[in-house]
Amino acid sequence: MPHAEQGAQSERASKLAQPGKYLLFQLAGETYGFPILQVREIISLESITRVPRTSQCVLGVINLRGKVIPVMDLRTRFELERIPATDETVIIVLQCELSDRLLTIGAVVDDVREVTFLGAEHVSAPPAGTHLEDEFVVGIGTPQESQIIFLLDVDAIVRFDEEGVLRAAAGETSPPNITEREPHEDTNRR
Amino acid sequence: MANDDARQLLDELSSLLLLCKVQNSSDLRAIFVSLGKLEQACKSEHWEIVSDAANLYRDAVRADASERMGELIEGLAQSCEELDGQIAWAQQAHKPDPETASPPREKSPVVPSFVMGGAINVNTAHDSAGEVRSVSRATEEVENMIDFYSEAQDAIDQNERLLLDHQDGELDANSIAALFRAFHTIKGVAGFVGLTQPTKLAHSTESLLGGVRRGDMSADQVILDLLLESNERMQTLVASVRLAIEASTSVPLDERVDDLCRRIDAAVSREASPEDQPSRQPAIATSADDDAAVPQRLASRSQGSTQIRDTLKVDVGRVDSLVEMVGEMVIVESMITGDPDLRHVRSPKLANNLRQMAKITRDLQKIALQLRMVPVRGLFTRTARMVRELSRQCNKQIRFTAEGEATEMDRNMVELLADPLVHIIRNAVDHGIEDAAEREAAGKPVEGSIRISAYHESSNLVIEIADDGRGLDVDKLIARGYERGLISTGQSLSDTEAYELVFAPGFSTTDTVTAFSGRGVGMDVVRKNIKSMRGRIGIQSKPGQGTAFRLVLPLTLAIIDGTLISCGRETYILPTLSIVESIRPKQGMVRAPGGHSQILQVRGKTYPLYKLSALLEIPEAREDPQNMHAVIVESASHSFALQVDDVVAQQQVVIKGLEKQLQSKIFSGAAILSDGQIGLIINVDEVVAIANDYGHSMQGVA
Repeated sequence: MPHAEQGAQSERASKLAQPGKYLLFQLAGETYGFPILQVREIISLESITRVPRTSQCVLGVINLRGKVIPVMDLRTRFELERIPATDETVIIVLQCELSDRLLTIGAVVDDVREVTFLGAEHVSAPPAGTHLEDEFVVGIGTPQESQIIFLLDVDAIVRFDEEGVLRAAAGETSPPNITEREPHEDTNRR
Repeated sequence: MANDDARQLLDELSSLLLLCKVQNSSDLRAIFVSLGKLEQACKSEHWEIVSDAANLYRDAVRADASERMGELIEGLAQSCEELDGQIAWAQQAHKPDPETASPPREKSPVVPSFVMGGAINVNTAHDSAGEVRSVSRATEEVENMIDFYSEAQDAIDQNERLLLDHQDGELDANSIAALFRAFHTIKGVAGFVGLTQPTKLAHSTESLLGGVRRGDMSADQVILDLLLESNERMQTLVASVRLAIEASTSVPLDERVDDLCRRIDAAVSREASPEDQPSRQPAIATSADDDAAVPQRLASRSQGSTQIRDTLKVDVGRVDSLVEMVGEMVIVESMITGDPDLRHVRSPKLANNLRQMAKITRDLQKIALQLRMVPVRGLFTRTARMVRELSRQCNKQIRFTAEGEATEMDRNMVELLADPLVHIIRNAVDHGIEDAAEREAAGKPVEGSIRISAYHESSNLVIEIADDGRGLDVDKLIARGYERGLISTGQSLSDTEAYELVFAPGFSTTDTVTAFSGRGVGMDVVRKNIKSMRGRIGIQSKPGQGTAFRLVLPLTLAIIDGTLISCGRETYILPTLSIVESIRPKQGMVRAPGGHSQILQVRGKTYPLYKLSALLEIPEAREDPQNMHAVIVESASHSFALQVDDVVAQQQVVIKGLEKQLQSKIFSGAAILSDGQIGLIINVDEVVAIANDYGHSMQGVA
């Protein structure tokens, strides 16, 4: 598993998208691609159990045939606007090897498209001068001239536990919520 | 019959040789070990020729990993055939006399000349190599090291059981032989991976045992102590190998090994001269004093030996995933049997099949959980050794008795229990049991007693550790409590509450700090560990009569008794063991003194009352003050009450870990409920911290 080896690398910048098969999906009008080797399956958006006091981008946990796996909202992870689920909304179940264990995690995306093969001639590094690599983009796929696919680094996306609190959630952590709510509830009681 | 043994060993060896791949180090190691066995068997029958040949081959196998291995194996296979023929010949002759039964010299097995040469090279290289070899070198070497570790560890554990079983009596021939084999195995494997110290120690010990076996010396206390010490030293050596493997460093040298080897060797050579005899006399006398204990021990041992069954070593990960899968099946099963659509089907056949399925699933779950269960014996053996050691160092005579060693517990809990037991035992030996003079003055037998027992009680494992020492001094405890500000003056404590002080961090009543206890660290660790296993610990004590610790633990870490509570439209799980009671408070019982914090008063006791809805930001909670539920929970540090909408049910749940990505300290895990939904298990130890957090932020706002 070539991707398992990649997972051990911590330097995101040195990591570039490789030619190969990608699962293409939609997020806020753009097309992205996950390396197919790290996609375990695609499931419909079923009931998600909310996990209180966790990162903003974590929607909760689901029961995947007996395994309790976290599900994150990729829109929130990418600091995009949250939208209500549609019929097309699905969970892509990803698998990646973190430094010490195998992580299975679900990612909610707007829509899945297809699996496509991107040869070396269709894969290029993200253009210099952008901050795309900060957005987990490790390559650009251009199967046709008009089409552009952002190739993603799964390991970097799921590694928000080690980065501390997710950037998207910064400044919006739970304590303020409580201070807002608690007096309100207290007045209710009295 | 030794001939049959030898042939069997040869058969084994031949098949190994047939299947052997030259590059595969574990194959080579198997051959190495097999040759060792052959050598051993032939040696005991005085077939020097065969055993010597086997020995040479062993050295050659060890020395030469690659280049000439093919050639060597070829030669070995040929020799095997010849040996087989010779043994058959010896069998035909049917002469019991080893001299005539041994194969004639001219028919001695073919040993390629390079094997002879290789053997010499090995020996010299070996001695100078030392233990500086780095384990990190090659993965193959690491694998060999890991094999060495697991094999040596097994042998050490087995030795320890044997030695402790016989610590007051004489070692019988069978035990000596078993010990001899175990040390021989260690020597063989250690030699193969090139660890000099374990090899050397095993070798010395082996010669000591050899002397005992030949009858050159008797297995008295001195020898027993040496054997115990040797086994313990081997344990540390093996442990350091493990550390070295894990850290990919080189195996450190232990300078105490040389000293021990010298003493063992001295004991072996000393046996020839009889003037040493008197010095050992007292040791023998004390062990003879122990007569009363011997029949009991023998009885328990014979009981134990009948329980030895064939076992299979299985990777723990596999067992864990099996247990997990079975847990899933139980849930799916209950989903099917409880399916409303199926209920409408009026079919006796279906009903019958469903019942059948339910029964099989339950049985399967039971068996699957048992797979991970191990007897507490191993843990008790360690405890016995510790009592022995400590009593000697403290100069106290202590009799250690263990009951219920066959009681089983989750393998994963054994390690977690080891530390608490160490602390409890240290306290018992050091503080609990009085010294001989004090005991005599109190009219007690000079010999103190520590009793450890294990048994199952409902769905819990109970371990009790009782001593017959001086007991806890309540007044002293309370005085210390005041001193350390743990209790406020004027506060009156019941005896049980006073005992609880023992678990406060840094608490100690002893005025003298010894090497073993008195520093006040320990008992808080005990309680923390027990709590982390979702267990409870209690103390009973009578002045002058002793102290007893009672540990109540869940049978397994995989399953807990959960209480399902609901709040809003969400369901959470509280570990039932941590729940004291659940009540429907009447209005006067809830007080809100400062505005924000609430207090629940139950039968004169007060608890902080936290709203689950606020802690977990649950929308749509009912919050009906007329009709509220409060669950009183006991955590490691505090007791508190949780306001919930409803207490739904109690059920056993299979615990699933949560990914780190969830960053949710407040949940210790999750479980899949009978409707397939996920219930998060609340970590009661974190509730207070989180409630305090929001309490502080409240103050900031106010």
